[in-house]
Amino acid sequence: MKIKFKLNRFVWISILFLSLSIILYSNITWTDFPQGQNIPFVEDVEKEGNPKMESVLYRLMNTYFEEGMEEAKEFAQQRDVGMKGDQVRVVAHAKAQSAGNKLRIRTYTLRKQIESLGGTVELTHQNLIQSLLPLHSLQDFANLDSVKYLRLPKKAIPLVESEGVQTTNAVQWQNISQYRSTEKVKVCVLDAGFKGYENLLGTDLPEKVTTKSFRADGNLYAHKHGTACAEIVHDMVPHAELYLVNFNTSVEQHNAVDWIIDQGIDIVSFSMGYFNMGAGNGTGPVCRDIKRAKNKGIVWVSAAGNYAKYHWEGIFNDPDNDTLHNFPGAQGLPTDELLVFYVPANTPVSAYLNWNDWGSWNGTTYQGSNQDYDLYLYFWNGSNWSNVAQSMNIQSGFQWPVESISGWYSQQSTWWGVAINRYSAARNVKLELFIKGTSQEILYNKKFGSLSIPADSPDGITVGATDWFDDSLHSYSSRGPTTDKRKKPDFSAPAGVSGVTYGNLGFYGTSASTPHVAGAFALLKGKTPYSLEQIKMILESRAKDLGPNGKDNQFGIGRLDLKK
Amino acid sequence: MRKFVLKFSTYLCILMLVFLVSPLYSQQTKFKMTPQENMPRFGLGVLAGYAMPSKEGINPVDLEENYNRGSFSYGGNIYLMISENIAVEVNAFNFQYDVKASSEGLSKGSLTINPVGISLQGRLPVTPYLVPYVVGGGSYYLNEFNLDEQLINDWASLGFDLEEKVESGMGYHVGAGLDFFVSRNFALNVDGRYFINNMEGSWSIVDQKTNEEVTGKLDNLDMSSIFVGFGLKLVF
Repeated sequence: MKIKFKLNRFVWISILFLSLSIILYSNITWTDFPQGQNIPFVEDVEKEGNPKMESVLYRLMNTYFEEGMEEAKEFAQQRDVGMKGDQVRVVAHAKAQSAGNKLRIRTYTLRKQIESLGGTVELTHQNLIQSLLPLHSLQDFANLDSVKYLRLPKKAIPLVESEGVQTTNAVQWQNISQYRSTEKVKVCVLDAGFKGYENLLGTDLPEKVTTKSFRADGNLYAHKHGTACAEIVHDMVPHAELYLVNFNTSVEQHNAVDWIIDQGIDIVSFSMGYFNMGAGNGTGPVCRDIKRAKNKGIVWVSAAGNYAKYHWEGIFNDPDNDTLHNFPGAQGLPTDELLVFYVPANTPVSAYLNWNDWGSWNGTTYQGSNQDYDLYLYFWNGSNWSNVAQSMNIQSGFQWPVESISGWYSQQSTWWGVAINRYSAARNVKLELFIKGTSQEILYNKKFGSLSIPADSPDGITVGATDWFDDSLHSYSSRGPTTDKRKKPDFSAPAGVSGVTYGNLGFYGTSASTPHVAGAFALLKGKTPYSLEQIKMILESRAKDLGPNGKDNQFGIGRLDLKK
Repeated sequence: MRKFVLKFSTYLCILMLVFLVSPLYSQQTKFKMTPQENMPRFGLGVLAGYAMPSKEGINPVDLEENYNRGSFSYGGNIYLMISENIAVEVNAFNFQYDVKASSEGLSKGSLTINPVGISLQGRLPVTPYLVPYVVGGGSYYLNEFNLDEQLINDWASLGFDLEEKVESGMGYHVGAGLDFFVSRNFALNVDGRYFINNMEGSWSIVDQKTNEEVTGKLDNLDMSSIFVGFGLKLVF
């Protein structure tokens, strides 16, 4: 009787605990966020800036001139602007469109000009020059005739968030004797960093791997994300030759791809993604890298992204004519000018906006936009909304239709919001917004079309995330279609899997799914005489169809499965 | 392997014994060979011996590591001694090799070679009962390759059909031997030949699901063999 009583008490305590949890969780719901509060939008602000310079750089420079170096450094830290000493890391687009000698002369001239301004060139790729510049020389440099645009480096983001070998039935393939294969398959994990990889050599990684860093600082150990991805590739195809290559910015990535092509790599596993680096239709500089790789016979496997819950898209709508976009009502809420999301304490917050006015892609850059929209970031301080940052790039014809705010840090758990302002535009564009910093679904969330770049590439294989145990789609897994209406992802593959790097069942995200597919390509490439194109067909024919019949925008053709 | 060595050694011992005993026997019988008087003569022979690929792992055919560079083989011939120095021979042999997976040659399986040929013997009698000879001629090589059953089944379980073939065709052989007549109608024989067998092969793998097929050719597949054997001949 006594035991029964204790058991009952335990049950009651559990129920009470669960109820409390539900009550607490339900406190953080869309009906609870501060509604009906005016946001302090600065409607009449005259837009300042240099059309040849990203707005955050312009503001950094102004802060430096008006408030001094210390304030500028603080601003840079807040806005995730990379500085080294008193210099800021920037990417300059050289103006010349022509290839060959003319471009070389122009980049050579720019290199000299950067040096004469006290700056340092870190690296170059075609018409892009990544360099460190003193804050006082930003304006002078941007105004040079040979400079088309000056911006912050675009950083790729590791898509963090294995049982997969069994789930995908790769084991049977691993054990079968090879049929007519000739050489070892070369797989490159192109990622943010490979911290701790040495400790896994000979156990969870091959005894010998080739490493190369394309970061300007040469730091191969900047992140452990790549090590976790390499672990999965090795789990899938233990005898493949592994190349661990890391980078940070898109310029570094371009150079890495040049090297990868020279090495005769067969398969690239790319569990990284960008925002605002393309029109979402397979064009742009990052997608161009994939096209270059494909043209050399390389299979490029990309993560779809982990942004299904943090994505919104829609046509600019301003029924009250206050130039602010009105997000459509959702979940029983009225329309609102703020897109709200809840951010836990000690979490960085970022927002990325782009719209469908990229213009044509000429193989190097986009024609550019003359529809000028801006992005504002707010947080709820307990009594009202406070504007903390804005991105106000000038779009006057040749600049990309992008705005981004990153580097803000939520010191307490609170609501944050973004607003979109139509600054100067002749038409209502289709907007796309990504939020980083929340683990909950954002308000007005639209899951479809949430692919990161370069998951939209028609030349690469895009991978979504399913649960390794029950094949359910992971809620964060980005979905298609692309902006030109192609279905993506191509495959889905297990996530939430185990590894040394992220622990038992600790590796989530399409990052974890991607190396499973890259490994499957390598496995079949090593065991059969099929071409990579044929292997793609074979894998498609064996994939386990999930969701709607046939290929769809959630699971692709299905979950990777290598069995008959 | 052990079984084969035992078998081969037994054959060898019997033949050596016969060779040792036969001169005594011939002296006892005191037969006199007068070939010129009896030509042409018709003969039948059988051979048993050892065959091996002509090169270490006949490129591009590789052998199993535990394979003893060859196998027990046998053959037979019918011949017509036209004169003391010339004979025409029709012969057939059987060689079988195990082959391991090779990147450019054959995959794992067993290779059977059956040369059926016609040869001309140049015979140079040293004594009435000791006749060395050289031999050369053309053969039609009936080649057959069977992929390893386990390999086929394993791949079938993954949904793939494997096939690998070698062509049959014309080739050549050359060699030398020695007939030792122990009686007027019976000879012991030692024979060594080189069979030149360069053919083409092909392979294919078909995915049962997509019907995607990859095929390939194995050009100039060198399946040449060396055969050394002992035999018995009946001459009429």
